[in-house]
Amino acid sequence: MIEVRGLRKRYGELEALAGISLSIGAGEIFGYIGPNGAGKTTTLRILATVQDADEGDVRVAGIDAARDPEAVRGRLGFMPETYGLYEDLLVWEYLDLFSRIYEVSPAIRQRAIADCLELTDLTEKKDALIEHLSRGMRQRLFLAKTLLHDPTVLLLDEPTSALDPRARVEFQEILRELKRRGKTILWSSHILGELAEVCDRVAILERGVVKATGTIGEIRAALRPRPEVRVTLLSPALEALKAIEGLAGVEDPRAEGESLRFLWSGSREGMPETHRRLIESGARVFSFFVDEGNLQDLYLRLTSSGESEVVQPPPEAS
Amino acid sequence: MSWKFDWNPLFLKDLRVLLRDRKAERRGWWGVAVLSAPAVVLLALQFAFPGIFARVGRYVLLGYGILANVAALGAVAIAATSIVAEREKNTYEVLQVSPVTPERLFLGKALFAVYGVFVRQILLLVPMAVVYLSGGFSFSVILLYQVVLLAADLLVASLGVYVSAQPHRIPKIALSALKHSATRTQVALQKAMGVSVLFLILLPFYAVLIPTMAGAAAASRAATGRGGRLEMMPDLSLLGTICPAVTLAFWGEVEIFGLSVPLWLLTVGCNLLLATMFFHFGVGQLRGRDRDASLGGRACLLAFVTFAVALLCGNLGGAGTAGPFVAGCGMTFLFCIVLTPCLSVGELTKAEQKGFRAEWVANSLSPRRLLRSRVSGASGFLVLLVLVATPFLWLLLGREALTVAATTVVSALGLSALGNRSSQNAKDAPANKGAFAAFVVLILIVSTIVPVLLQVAKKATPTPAVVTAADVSLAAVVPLNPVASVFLRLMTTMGEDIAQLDDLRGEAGPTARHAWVITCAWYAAIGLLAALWPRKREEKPTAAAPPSST
Repeated sequence: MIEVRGLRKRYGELEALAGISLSIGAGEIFGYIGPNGAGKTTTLRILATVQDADEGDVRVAGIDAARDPEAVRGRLGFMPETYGLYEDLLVWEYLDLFSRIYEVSPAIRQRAIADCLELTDLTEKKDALIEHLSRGMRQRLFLAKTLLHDPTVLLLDEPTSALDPRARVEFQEILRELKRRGKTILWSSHILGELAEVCDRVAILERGVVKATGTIGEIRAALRPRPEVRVTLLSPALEALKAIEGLAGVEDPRAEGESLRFLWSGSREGMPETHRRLIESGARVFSFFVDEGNLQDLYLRLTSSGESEVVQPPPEAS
Repeated sequence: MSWKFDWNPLFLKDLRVLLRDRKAERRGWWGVAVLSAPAVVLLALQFAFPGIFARVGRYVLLGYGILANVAALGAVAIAATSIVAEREKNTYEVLQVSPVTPERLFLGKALFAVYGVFVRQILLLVPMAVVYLSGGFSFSVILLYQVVLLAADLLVASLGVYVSAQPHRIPKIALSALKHSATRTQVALQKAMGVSVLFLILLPFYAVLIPTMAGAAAASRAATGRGGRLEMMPDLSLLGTICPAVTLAFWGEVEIFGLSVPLWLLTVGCNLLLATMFFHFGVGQLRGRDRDASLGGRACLLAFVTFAVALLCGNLGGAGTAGPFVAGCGMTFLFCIVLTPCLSVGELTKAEQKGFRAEWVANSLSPRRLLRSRVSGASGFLVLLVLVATPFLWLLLGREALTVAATTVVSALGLSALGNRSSQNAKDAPANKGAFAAFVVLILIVSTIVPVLLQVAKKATPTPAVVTAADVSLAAVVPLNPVASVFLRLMTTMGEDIAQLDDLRGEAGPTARHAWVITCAWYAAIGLLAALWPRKREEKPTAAAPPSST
């Protein structure tokens, strides 16, 4: 649904995008993650045809964005990070304005407005002045506006950055519903955790370069192929260490007081056997924790300054 | 086949907000009250001086025209803040990514501006009807003039939206204390208002100032049996091609290369041509790199320039009347450049005013910065402009260019020093500065308009009281007004080329010739007094307040 090839953009001396490529399938929620200044907003603005690229091809729903921006605009809904609302309009007036701008047929205009209000849970607020809405409601109203013309692609630039935790959860629910309706969503954020819960795949961007692309599991596996197992015991760890040494999949075991650590290179199915061997050795196991890698740590590792590691994307997204 | 009219959604949106805005409704009634005032004045005049409109003739038409133009400034204000305000409120990008075309966006904003002002111009039909009933207008003039006004509204709205569509930068050359505080909306508003005031108010004013005063002198001589004539200069009627007020004053037909054409038709044509030009340029701005839209604008500009040159070549006689006219327009325009930035200070938020005050006090504490703040900024810009313009004025006016330059520079510096000191001594400097600038503008306008109106009254009803008042105003008020003093000087020294001014030269005498000297002395004294006047103690840092608080 979205194809980006060799996208480059410079602002004077600064290279905002250094030839990025992305491929996003229909009906997918795709997370676009990176620290501030990584080039997320620039990518989204180019996709939304607000900005021109210096080099590269962008296709949305098979349409070349540079050649036919009007056609692309009709198929996508763009929610910028910062946007303004007409504070002196009522909620329904705002949606009515944009349904006219997007040339929604008068025959279905009222139905479309009602549907969008219902989806974003704003039906009760339809006669309220926009200036009286809370931040979360404004965000949902703008999303409703973005959905009015039934776009196939949604570009969301840090849509939850100013929301409280409850509003974020509500927003994620709406996105899940939109995915069920077949929308393709490109969601940019600098919070990996919230994307991990909703996105099918993510791309991690740093200084205009895509460092990793794939599902959260793929990225995790690529960055941390061997999870660390941490065992807390109520008995000396040295005995337990002897019991697991030499077991298949156990690497670099270390004992420190009453805690035991080792790296696991075996299959997932082999892990219960290791646990059983520990119990059989007489170790009093208090907790057994498999650390597959904290998402935030992985993200920081990828986007830290001076890091040159690039995770090869899976074949379908290369 | 059915056809359904599709309203411009942006026009509908603005209209919806306007109709719901209770404050707008209140302002609207104030507008009705203000615009009804001329009708009351005209009725009173008709009652006090029966038949006055028939005798004054075209001057009433000009007055009505200027009134209509003042109403049209509302369209400029609405249009000039339209798109730039969308940018500042972050709503423009939302429109940009929608399928709304730049043409639709431009038209939506321009139409709303025209709608707003056309309602007010319909209200102006009330005073127009009064003049019609007393024999001043014909019915066809009333009808056709509404068409002219509509075209002029389209022009100013189009100009306003074009200015609004530009990517404005906060000017660094304006008042140094303002450059951190002004918003882009204010900058756009000032630019559009400056150009519109020049064309809508100053142009008709100067087009008629000289002939009015000349005519007044001639009428005075006629009243005393010494003969004379009362005529406007016909070549100035061509200004009516872009200014509807002048069109009304010179209502009739003009001859272009032997062909008689109604002036109102020329005005409508030129206004629509220029409106189309601004439309194309504005759409080009909104598109970013749209060569086609800019080409359309350039084609309109070329057509208008060709037409204007043809008119000038075909109809203008000598350059004698153009000299004082151009000089007067230019000088007043320069004054507007100085004073309009001051006017926006009163609109700043409290936080912005705080910053303004802090910088102003800091300037006061440093002699070097104090000196710089007095002669730099707007007044420094004015001096620079005068230096650049003087050689060109010399070509046009000869040695009188020095008179214009000297009067402009001295009076601008004097006013600037007075304004600066007035701000420093005030508790709330920005608001005071805004009020000061408004006061100066008012004084300039009143001290120019009052003598002219008195001259008109003197011509219409030359009673001893009116004649005395007119002469006193000419001798006393005008020399203190830098714009008027330059006019008088030019009129009396360049009168050889202007037959209609012969009488005035005799009337004004030495006062008119030396008005500019009196003006320079007056404003130099004001400036010196302001510079030497001690500052109030409250502005200095005190022991109780830490230095950082100042």
